[in-house]
Amino acid sequence: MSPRPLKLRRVSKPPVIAGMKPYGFTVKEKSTESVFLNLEEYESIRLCDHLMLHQCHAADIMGVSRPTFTRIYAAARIKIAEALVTGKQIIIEGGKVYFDNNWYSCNECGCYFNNPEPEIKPEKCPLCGSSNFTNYDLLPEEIDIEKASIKTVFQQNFCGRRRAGRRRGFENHQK
Amino acid sequence: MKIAITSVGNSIDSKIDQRFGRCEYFVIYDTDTGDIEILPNPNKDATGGAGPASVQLIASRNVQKIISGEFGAKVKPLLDSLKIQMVILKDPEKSIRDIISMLKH
Repeated sequence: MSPRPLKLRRVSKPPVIAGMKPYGFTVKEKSTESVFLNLEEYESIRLCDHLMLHQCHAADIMGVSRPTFTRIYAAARIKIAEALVTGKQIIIEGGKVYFDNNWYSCNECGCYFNNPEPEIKPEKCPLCGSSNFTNYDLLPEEIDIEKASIKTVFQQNFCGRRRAGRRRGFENHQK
Repeated sequence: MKIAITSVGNSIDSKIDQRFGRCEYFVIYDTDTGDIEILPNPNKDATGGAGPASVQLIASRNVQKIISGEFGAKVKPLLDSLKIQMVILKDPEKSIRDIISMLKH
């Protein structure tokens, strides 16, 4: 039996670079190999280590379960560590993802449309021509996090853990 | 500008097809001249890769916008790189005539 197909992971926006190259080798043999970091792994690093979100919160944003997110994140850290230690270049590509920026929904005719030219903002709905549409851009909370300083965010979200035992019915079990 | 609309039948009174890769017909409407061209989809019974094959057919006609009910996971990155706009209309009751009159706004 073939395994269950992977869920599509939501990635807010594509990375600003396509990869990273090492420089200044201190050993004679330069490494010419590369490490392929998936887009979903890049996104997990961005959410967890750059925005300093908790894994449950980051998993919600990417639309996967918390254990799946942890696996993606662990793979990402292993790959980045390998590149750092052995001096390999990092190439960010691939992965089962969809991008969430530059999609819009029209409030007039109810259609969804994307914007193929990210430099130009759309002025009207391509179907009915109304200007009453909304953007599916970054989540509002994510914009707040990017604006706020990392330290305060860390304190606000610190200890946001849920109690797993209650949800799994441990209390009923004890009775 | 040329716009492709997926259709379940080969007339402009047919309804919009909710699938892209395996739709029955493509209606190609030219906004400048008002011409309507109806193409049968050769990939409608394909077992795999119907989406990318349909994208190739559409891209060869210089279409800049596609209106359909749904686009598959393989199709979206392809259309993104070809800079073809996707419009998702989740209303299976709309006919091609309705959509063309909406496009004229």
